[in-house]
Amino acid sequence: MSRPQWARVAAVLAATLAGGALVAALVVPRDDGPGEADTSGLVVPPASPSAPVTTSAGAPPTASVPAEPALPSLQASSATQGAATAAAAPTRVVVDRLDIDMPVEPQGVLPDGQMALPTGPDKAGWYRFGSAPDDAEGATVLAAHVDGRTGIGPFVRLGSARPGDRVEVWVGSQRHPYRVTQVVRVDKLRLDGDALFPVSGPPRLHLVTCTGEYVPGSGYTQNLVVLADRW
Amino acid sequence: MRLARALATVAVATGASVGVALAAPPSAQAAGTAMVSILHAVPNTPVDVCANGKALLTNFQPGTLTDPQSLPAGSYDLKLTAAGSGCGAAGVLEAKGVNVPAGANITVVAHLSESGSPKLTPYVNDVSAVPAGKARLTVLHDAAAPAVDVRAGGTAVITNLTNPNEKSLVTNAGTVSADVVLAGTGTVVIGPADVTLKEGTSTIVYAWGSANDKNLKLAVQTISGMHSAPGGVNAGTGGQASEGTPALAAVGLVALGGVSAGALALALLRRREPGRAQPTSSSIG
Repeated sequence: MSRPQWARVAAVLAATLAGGALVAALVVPRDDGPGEADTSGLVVPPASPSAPVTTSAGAPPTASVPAEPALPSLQASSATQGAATAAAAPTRVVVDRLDIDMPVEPQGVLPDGQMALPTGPDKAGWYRFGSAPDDAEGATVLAAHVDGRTGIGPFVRLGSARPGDRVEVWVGSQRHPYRVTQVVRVDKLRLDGDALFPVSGPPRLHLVTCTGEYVPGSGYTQNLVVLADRW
Repeated sequence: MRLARALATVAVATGASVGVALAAPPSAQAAGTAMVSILHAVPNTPVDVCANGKALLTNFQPGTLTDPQSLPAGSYDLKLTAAGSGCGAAGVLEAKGVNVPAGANITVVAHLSESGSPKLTPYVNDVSAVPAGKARLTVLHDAAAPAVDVRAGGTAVITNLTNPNEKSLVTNAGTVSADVVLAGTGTVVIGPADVTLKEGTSTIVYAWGSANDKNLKLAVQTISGMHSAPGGVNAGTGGQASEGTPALAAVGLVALGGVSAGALALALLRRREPGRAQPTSSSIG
């Protein structure tokens, strides 16, 4: 950004901070605003000012051993690592009604702690440290850029997803069908990562992309999350 | 952690009733219980394990490990007797007043001291969460051997580790080729062996056996449940799909306070210059 632009940013910033009226005028209540009840569980609840802080002085000295301790009978096994078992990775995601049919590849974590994604918007990433479609618990998380330098990707159409839509996730030649239950837009600053990437609970599918306004330097302001249960 | 282990060791060594509370890490364990595992790392000596005069485990073989078991917190008299001889027999190894504090995750290890005599050491395992994509690796020296270094992929990641101490690090999840060398040398005494560091888990590697008897080995314990979720998903690099409604910027402003005022200012600027091309970001946005 050129210097005059920064100067203007600074000027607007100063005006914004100085002029409470301007800020107030722009804080438009919206259906995903802070006061709205969240049913997806993806939104971090407002911080409780009086969250109890419990302190522990450590375990107290134990006066006596239980008279008849119900000690279990233990079993031992070889203290070696079994062969590493990698979860079967999803390879393709299809939403017929939205004309989405994309390859999927495993992805991990960026140095800043965000989920890593394939570079272009035409490929989706599967969070490989989370659950997979074959797992009995947790959410399979597939995410893709909504756009890139080459243009807009298929996940932009997730904005038109509706409850009841059928999503198919392929693991090689195996098809795992899901039914969309909710489509949620959540401000990134209020996103609950544990709710987006659960490793326990019912087996589900979370399709994730970005939405909202694009802010150069920091990206989109919101995530679009499509939640789906097993069909 | 090391303090806790040191205190626990003192308790075993003195056999005294322990009045010192171990500094147990916070844990999801119910109050009043602890998770306890037992590792047998004394070569060539199958044993029965007795706690407070009752058999916990019979014919416990070297190189084997019990599954973590929830036990009532308290003070335990532990005795290892020759396999098959029962709890009334003289102990091969004995430790009175071993304190098992509520909420702790403990591995009690029967192993050799540096000079080769059998001993029991309770270690308090670090079960605190690790960041997304990471795993914890802890290495313990439980062998009749001098100080060692531990190398991963040929690079020393833990140096000058001595019996009965431990060192721990948090690293990227994955598989590493690890070996153990005499401290400060390239003389390999164990390995190399592939060690899988699963995301959100703690992999605890025990070096055990005797250098003199040339039976040094690794035992491995894995504790899971230390997983963290990624911080989020930044899923747009172009800006072409931007909605550009002022309300969105306002939401950000509410959440971030002054910090987002810059973003708001940029949004205002952009609307004042409708003809300007959409900027592209060099970072993942």
